[in-house]
Amino acid sequence: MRRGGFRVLDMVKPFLPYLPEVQSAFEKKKKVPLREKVIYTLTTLFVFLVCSQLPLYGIHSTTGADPFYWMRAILASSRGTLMELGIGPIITSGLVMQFLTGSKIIQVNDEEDHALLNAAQKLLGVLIALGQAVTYVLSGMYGPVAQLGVGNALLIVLQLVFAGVILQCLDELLQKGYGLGSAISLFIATSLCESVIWKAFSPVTFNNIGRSGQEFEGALISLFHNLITKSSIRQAFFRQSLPNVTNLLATVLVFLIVVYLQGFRVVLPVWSKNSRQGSGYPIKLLYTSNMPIILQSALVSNLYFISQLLYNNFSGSFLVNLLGQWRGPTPVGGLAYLITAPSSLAAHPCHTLFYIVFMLSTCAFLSKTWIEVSGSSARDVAKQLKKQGMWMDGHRDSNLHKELNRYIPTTAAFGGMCIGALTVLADLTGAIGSGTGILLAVTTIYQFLDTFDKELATES
Amino acid sequence: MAASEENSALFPIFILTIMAIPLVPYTMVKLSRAVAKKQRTIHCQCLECDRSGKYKRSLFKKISNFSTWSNLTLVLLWVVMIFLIYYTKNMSRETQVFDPFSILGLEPGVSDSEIKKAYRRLSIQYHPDKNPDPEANKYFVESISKAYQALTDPVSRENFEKYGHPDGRQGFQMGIALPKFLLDIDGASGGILLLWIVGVCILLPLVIAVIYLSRSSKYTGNYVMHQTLSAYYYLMKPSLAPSKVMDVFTKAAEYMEIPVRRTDDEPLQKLFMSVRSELNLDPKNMKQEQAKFWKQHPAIVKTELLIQAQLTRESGVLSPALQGDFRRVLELAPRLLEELLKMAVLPRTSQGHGWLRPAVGVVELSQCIVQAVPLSARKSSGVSSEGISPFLQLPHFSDAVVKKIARKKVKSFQELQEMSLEDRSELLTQVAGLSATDVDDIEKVLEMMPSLTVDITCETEGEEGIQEGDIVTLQAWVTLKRPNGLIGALPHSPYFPFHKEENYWVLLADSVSNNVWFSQKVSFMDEGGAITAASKTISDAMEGSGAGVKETSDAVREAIEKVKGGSRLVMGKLQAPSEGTYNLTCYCMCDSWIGCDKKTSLKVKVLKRTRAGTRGFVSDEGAIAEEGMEEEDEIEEEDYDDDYESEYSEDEDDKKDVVEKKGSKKANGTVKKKESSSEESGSEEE
Repeated sequence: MRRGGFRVLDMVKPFLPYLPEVQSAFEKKKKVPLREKVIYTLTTLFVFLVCSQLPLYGIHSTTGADPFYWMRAILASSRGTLMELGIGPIITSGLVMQFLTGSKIIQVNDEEDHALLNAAQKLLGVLIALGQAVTYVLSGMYGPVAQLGVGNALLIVLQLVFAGVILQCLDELLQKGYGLGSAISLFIATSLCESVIWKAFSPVTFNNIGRSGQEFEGALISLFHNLITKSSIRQAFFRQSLPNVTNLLATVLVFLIVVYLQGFRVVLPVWSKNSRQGSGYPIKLLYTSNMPIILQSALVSNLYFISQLLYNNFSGSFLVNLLGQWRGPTPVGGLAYLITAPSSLAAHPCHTLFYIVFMLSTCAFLSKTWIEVSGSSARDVAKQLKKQGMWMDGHRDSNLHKELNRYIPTTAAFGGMCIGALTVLADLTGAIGSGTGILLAVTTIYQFLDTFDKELATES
Repeated sequence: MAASEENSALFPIFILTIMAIPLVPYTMVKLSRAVAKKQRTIHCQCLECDRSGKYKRSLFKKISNFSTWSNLTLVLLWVVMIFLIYYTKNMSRETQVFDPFSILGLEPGVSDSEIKKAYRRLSIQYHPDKNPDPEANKYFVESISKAYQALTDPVSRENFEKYGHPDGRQGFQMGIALPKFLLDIDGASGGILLLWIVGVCILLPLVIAVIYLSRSSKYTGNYVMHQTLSAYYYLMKPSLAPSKVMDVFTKAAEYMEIPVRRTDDEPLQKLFMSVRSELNLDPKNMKQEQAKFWKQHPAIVKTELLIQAQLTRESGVLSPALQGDFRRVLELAPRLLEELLKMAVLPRTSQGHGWLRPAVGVVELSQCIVQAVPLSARKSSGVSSEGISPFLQLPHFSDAVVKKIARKKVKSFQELQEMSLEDRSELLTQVAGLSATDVDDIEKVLEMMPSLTVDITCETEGEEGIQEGDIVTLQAWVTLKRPNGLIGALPHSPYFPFHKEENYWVLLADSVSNNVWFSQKVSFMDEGGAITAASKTISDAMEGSGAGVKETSDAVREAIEKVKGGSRLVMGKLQAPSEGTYNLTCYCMCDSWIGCDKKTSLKVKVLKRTRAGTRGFVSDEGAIAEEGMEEEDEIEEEDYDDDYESEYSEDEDDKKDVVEKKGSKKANGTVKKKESSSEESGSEEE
């Protein structure tokens, strides 16, 4: 075509008619009213919740150690159900495409290319889901394949892939203007909220006979239980084996801190040439929002995966041991151990120190990198402002970029560090769900409320 | 045995927690609200208002006020909770942890001889040889001898210290604190479980969704039907006379829903005769006009007659059935009038302006309905534009009284208001022949009447003059004062049978061209809400103009003071029209009082558009105006928090990089642009 030669994107073309697609609301020039958006969002959520409760048909067993335990919160997956893969395939395919376009292996020029890129991403998502499903079944996660039978094994793969396709459609539905925000973050936030509610109100009881008598799993219920039947409520606050009230309070604390930090921003006064209207261009402290923590956890989980794989196969090697030593699903040595949250602050001061330094520096670094990749760096913002006919008081047009550069990278790095610090805080205080999970959920909920507010304002 | 007992005590605890967590805060809020309830009366104190029974707090009413459903459930829930606490306390006494010392009645850490002594003492009491009771027997075997063993036998003692039980390591049991019958799925509970899942998890959300959808498709967010809005929209005309506003108002779909009964015909005829003079019928061909009136839709006829009955204070003669309809009509009226006003000021013209005349008509109708004053009384009498209507809203005033005081040269309402207390009472008692208590009532109402001042400014932020196409910021402080010092208060409205709050409408309009530039509703009731809203708008505005933290906080503090002093901030943005001088009038109108509307004039001068702003803008390229002429009123920082959103920006990123590379050699921005475009076209040719 224009450039001639072979383009990777063109390979997707034959699949276009077979990929399910949601017609964009923006394309139709139709404004979807807020009421409908809320209904679409809630329906999506409902479908997701049902999917994460429906057990897979044909599986044999899901007992035994869960190798993906530490990824469940971030991937919004739940074991042995249709949501076994969660949003993993979607995120992975999105990241891959992001880096491909970012590194200019794939060139996107016009509308058509955009459509192709979307299709490619979806196709990749389905392929990843297929690959993961096959791996899961073959690795014997649901019982040995011989025991399952070929028919059942195929059925399981089919179910998982189909669930992946449904999730993709739901995500696209919300993405294309029918909902508030994105489905992915919604699902993550939902699964975290679910676990917080469960840990606070779970009616499950444990009886450690002789030691402490009956105990509730739910922290708040246990508090009431102790309040009524025993004289001291110390145990409800400090018990170790089950979620306690302190954890719950830590969760609330982290939640509040994040909401507080969301309000921090620097407002650069900019002026519009057209309407001569002064307005502020806000640069938030959490400029990259929850992105650094998503990237950080993606990095760590990939490292875990590789390390675990290597350790299981070549455990003797020095380098492999340096990378990580594992006992079941928990790392006990090497780098993987050092970048895991320590169980207690005082017991392993060196470990804690390393962990904190690692978290802060990676978050800051990733945040700073992300603005370049995602097109929200100072240069891009300057360009965007120029396009809108905005200028900054007392600065030449060419200086806008420099002026923005004074703020944006610093903000991004510092904001990333704050996010990292909050994660550390959440992990060390034992907040419910991992620190990453809470951060993701809180920022998502905040964004949803923000969008809702804005929509409400434009509606009336 | 023990385990099941324990479980039965655990389920109540679960229920208790679930109940207590919402119940306790709710009760506290409710109690604190009941304690902090303002004792100050904010409604009119005159006799007529008292008699209308709206604000009556009789003993019976107080009781019925207390015994609402929510209060009753609250009390019931507390009773249940207390019962549960009592129950669990009793149940859990049996489920104590095995503690050999307390069983033997000893302090921990006593000597062996003491233990032996205690064991012997208890043996005498409980040993099966001494005590024939089977309960005692059981207690002896299970607790006493075990406790004794645990403290004396070395193996048991070690076990006890290690695992907390003399028998060694005990298992780890898991259960669910739900009643037994729910848990065995095979038996009868399967049905219950199924019912529960289908009913609560599927049917309930569905039913709620269906109800919500069917309701919301009929009603807008303001509890007004969609049908009404569309009818209002089409019937609203730019020069709708105030007398015709009524015809539009009665076309509401809500009024169409009021049933038309055959039995109503006769009373309606009677009502028609008494309000005929108010109906704007042409006296020359009365017969025809009457026939035409009755030919309208019966619901419209009925509504119009009922509203006229309110305006002429004839509601006493209505039959009981009609009385119900009458109340319904009046109950809906404020809401509908508000929507009607919104329809009038809706942007219709090409400049985005609404219509002034119908808007004023709607407010006047609203005032008349609340005060029960006929529209004909508003006809201007030369002295004041509102005629005698302001007088009629006062208690004990009638046409005759108005005529009498007019003879004494008190012709406009303002004159009456401005008279001194003695003069006024003398005038009213001597000339109008009112009693002293009546005069007292009138004084009370006059003290309640608000007086408004509006302080309005219109400017382009940070610029000296207003130029064409600017976004103009309009800032108005509406200040309300009453002689009795209240700020938020309920108006004197003895004939309006419902609770009605005062609302004010601020309209910035060009009265010559009938254009409403800006409109907003203001309420003085909610001071806290107004404070937060005002401080937010002020701080946003200051932030946008780049002010420092201290300046902003000072401005916010000042705004809060103003709000507390009875002012409300109205802030809006509008686009400046084409060049010229505009004589605008700022109307501030009350929807419940007659005769306290305020007009303030405001001159806005719009200059011709010059090339750029006056703020010392330095540009290094010539064509600014050509660049990016598209309307952009808001810059939104895009949060690229997700992989998806960000990829759209990716291509911009690429392009920009190309541009950047080529342009970096040149210093000039314009050349940069050209370079890149030629580059792109070049690449296309390849």
